[in-house]
Amino acid sequence: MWHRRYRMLIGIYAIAVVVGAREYLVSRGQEPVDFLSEKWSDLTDVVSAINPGDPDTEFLEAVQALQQGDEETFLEHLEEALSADVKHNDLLLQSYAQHLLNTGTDHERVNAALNRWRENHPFSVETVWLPLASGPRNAADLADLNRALGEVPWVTRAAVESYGDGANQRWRASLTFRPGEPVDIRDAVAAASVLALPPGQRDLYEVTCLTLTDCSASRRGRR
Amino acid sequence: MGNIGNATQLYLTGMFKTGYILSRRADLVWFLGLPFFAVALAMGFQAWLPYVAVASINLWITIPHHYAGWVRSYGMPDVWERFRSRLIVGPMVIIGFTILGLQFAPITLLLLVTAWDHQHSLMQQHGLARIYDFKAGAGIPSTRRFDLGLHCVLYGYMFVSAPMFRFLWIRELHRMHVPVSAGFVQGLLTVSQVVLVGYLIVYALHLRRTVAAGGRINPIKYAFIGASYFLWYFVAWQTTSILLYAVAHRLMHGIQYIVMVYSYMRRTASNGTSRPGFWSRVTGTGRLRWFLVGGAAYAVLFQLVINRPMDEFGFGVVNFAPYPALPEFGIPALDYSSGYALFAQMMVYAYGLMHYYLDSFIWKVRDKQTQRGL
Repeated sequence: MWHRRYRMLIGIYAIAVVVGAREYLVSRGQEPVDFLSEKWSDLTDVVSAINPGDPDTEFLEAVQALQQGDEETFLEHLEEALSADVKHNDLLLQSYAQHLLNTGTDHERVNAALNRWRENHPFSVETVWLPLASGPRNAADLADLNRALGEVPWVTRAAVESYGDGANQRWRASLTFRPGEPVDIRDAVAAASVLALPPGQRDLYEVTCLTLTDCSASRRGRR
Repeated sequence: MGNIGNATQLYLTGMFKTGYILSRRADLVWFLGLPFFAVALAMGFQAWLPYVAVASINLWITIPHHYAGWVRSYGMPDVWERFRSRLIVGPMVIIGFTILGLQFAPITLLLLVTAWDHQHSLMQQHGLARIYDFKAGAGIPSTRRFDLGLHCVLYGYMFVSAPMFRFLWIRELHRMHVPVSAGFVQGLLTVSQVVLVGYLIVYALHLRRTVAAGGRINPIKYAFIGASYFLWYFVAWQTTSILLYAVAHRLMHGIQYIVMVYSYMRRTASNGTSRPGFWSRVTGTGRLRWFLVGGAAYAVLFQLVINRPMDEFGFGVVNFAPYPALPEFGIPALDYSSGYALFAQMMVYAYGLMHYYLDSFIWKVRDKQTQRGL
């Protein structure tokens, strides 16, 4: 009998079709449960009660704290998770590095966090936002900025974009990483500083940064 | 007193009958020792290697174990003839539903893959345990069902209770809009404990019944089950590292499967009980290396087809960085997608060049050997 021969497939896919149909119908009527949804905090509450102290729980609690605007608690939870030498959570490692970068932390800590993330997840498609002090004023500026960022050894792609409106407009560069290449965030900061130079002199000078704020330009070819 | 001691010894001796899947030594290595080795290796990975090593284990072990399965199912003419319709219809149904799942119910698809993976893992250990009884002539007819129940309860308890797993199913239930409460989960944990203890008592009674009915117990089977569950339980409770579970489990599952397939084919070849086919080309004296090379080549091919970087073979230690920027030529660094396009172009060029080169010497009309074929 054919149905006896295929009973395994029939059984498994009968259940899958029922569950899948429910998912299809529910997903069209309700918002997905993800990091930004209200229901995500319900998940965080349950997991916090069931698995307290786990690195993944700490990460959920960190995200919840960030949603509530509590950056201090966000950082505490992330550092608690990282102290367990966690390696598997791509987003946790990336979020920590991004947070250090956003808050202008010392470049050595930023580099350590970025390299920790990239070493464990070299093929992660997640990017990091580099806040820019000033944005491009015209197409030539944008081309110079993209060229400078493209020359950073560990960057494979950089996308410059603005956010905010009017007087609050800010600029940032989304950086995609080259696998297997050690990251020094000062390279990207130096590249982004190219806009501080007059347009005619950008090819003549090379910017180097000792920290994330202490950069200087020297004429190419004589350091 | 002495007589009672001797009687007990005789009774105990009569209770047990050892049997091995391969041989005493081979079983010690592949079925009894491997789980402990896998845990130790995974702990080393956790301490010294980055997480990308999990992808490497996948490529070196898991993908080749799929290859072993292909050889066992599609490479043996007798198996092909016996299961032909299932070997054709099965993949079509599975691929079709997978495409549909990706489009319309991605979470369900993920749950299906995960659930079937767990079922497959426990069934492999159950199957190997069954072979132990088969080889020893141990157990009674109902032992098969009790053993399956034992595996379901032990594995199910781990899946429900281990912090690593319960995090996953709680999360997925929420994503499926089935919001379980902490109280419900606590209740489920308690129920799973009761079921575990209750079933262990039932199983102990089954063993007593087995002996009373004149059946034998193969202690090696229980050593094997113990080693397998030591691995799973140990790593499933190490929540700080999913790496540990991923590495240890894949090593045990993949290697034991490959060993089992190869030993099955080798015995089949030496017994002459199956018609030759692709399987017999990679089986027998001096051919193990070709079986293993086939598995590695399959993994390389698989990686190319799914457009993933070859670096994943390198445990995060060996990297083949893609093409760097060449500022002198105004060429930016290539990401993997662009790098793959360049690789494809290289293949087109190189294959053309090889064709030109080969034709430069294999078609010489003045060559006597060529003339004989004209």
